[in-house]
Amino acid sequence: MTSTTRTHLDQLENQSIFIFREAYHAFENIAMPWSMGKDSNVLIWLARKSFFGKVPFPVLHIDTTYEFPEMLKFREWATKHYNLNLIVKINTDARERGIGYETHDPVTVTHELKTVALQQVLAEYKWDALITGIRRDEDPTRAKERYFSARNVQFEWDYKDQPPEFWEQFVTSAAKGEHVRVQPLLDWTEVDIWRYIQRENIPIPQMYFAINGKRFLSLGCSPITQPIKSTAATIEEIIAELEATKTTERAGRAQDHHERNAMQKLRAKGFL
Amino acid sequence: MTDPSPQSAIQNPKSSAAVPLKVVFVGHVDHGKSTLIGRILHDTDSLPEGKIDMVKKACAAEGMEFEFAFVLDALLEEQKQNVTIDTTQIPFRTARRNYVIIDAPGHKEFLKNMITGASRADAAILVIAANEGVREQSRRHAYLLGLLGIRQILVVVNKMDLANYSEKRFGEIESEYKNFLVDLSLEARAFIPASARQGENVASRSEKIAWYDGPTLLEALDLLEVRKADVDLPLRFCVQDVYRFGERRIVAGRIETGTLRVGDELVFSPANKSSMIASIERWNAPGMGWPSPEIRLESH
Repeated sequence: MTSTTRTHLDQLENQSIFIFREAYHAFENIAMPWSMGKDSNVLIWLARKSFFGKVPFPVLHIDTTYEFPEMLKFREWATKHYNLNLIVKINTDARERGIGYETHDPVTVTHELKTVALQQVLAEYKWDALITGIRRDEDPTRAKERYFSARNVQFEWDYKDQPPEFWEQFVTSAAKGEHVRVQPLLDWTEVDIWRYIQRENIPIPQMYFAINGKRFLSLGCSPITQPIKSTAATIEEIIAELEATKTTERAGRAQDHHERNAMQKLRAKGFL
Repeated sequence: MTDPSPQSAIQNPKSSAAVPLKVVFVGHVDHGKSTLIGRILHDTDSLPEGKIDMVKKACAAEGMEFEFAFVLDALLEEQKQNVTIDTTQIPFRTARRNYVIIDAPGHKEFLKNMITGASRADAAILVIAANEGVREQSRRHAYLLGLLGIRQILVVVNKMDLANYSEKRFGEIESEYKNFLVDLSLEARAFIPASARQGENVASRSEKIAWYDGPTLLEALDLLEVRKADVDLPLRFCVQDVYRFGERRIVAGRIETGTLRVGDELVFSPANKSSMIASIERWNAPGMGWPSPEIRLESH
């Protein structure tokens, strides 16, 4: 058998594994943020494929304290079954100052409880690379990302002057205090993720499947993440729904729509 | 669960499981690349619901005229200066197959971003504005396409509305640019007169350009082919890393060309030492036992 019969999913999987191994070889001190969402779980799956069943770096959950209870149960289950080195980080300082969805706008809360929390934990562990699960098709600013994308000490993304990236030559070093975002899922689309979850039988939280006529497309903080109307209760039905619909995946995520170019502003300041 | 084979994907072109053709849009700054892409996405009904309305509203708020380009030029700076800064990838689909469009900036300052985008493409659309004609980046981008090994090239002579849909003007640009490509040992599959802003010869045939009997842009795109793996060439395997499991050594890497099987003798460069492949390892996950019923919630 030659490789000429490789499917699109095989190609995506191969490219992602290639990126994982490049990152693992190049960086000394890696962590992988993990939200327990579908893409995040595909990422863990690909890490295990890349390193023969083990995830050889810590997995980081930025706990906003607004997590869905099912997600926390999933976190517990997966940590045990995958034998993960889990680090949980909460921005307790912001919560003590009263930052929360009850009183503040979603961009402010997301920045404080996700981005600032990430800055705090990065300062503590001094990781030089973070492996993220972002995809180009999620958002127009993510569409402009590189596989290896540097962030400065302030976490800023210099999107106006990104380095060239071709022939698999990547930015594989970070100056002191800076870090590189490694993004193995950049080429995947939402449907690719679902087909791969189906093919590989990857465990995911059940909130993606319809109960009582509603399901979640994307999972974030509970006060600002809304389900959509859907009867799709299996992966086949979700894929069929995606092929027929034109609703965007992050439509139910309030922080993206708070103001014009909200995602660009969040991401320039360090949001994934 | 079986993955659809490439065969079944071809028989079912609506399936999103098929391998997409990656096509990069290049050419001189302001010759209308992003507008052309916006037009394709609009005319093939590939944009998410409400996207056009959202961009129109945002333009009105800023006192700008609506541009299809803003669908891709997502950065505030790109919209304010009306120029693409960095490369973008976006999927779309025709009745025949799946595509990934790669938008590349045309300004010479952003050449590194153009190369970043173009290096991943199977094919290229080179856009030349009919009113301005062949310019510096029209030539430089073709040279870079040749360097990157992209051989499938379509040339769109855009903004034909600004040249009164003139056959003569189109002919001048076609012959000038054809001669230039010959010098680079390149050949365009087609020259297509079009207007992205007016939607002429992009997804549907133009009545205003009745003198042209070649394909529309989408028809020409559907005739291009996905780059195939070079399995007939000698093996080139780039070593990424060596993983040690006890006594075993696993050489991790990727096949760039050729094929590889157990028993093959390999020569390692640069030491010129040789060795034999003992086994080919691939890790497959065992079943995990999730979802467990007790974690399934009653309602959302």
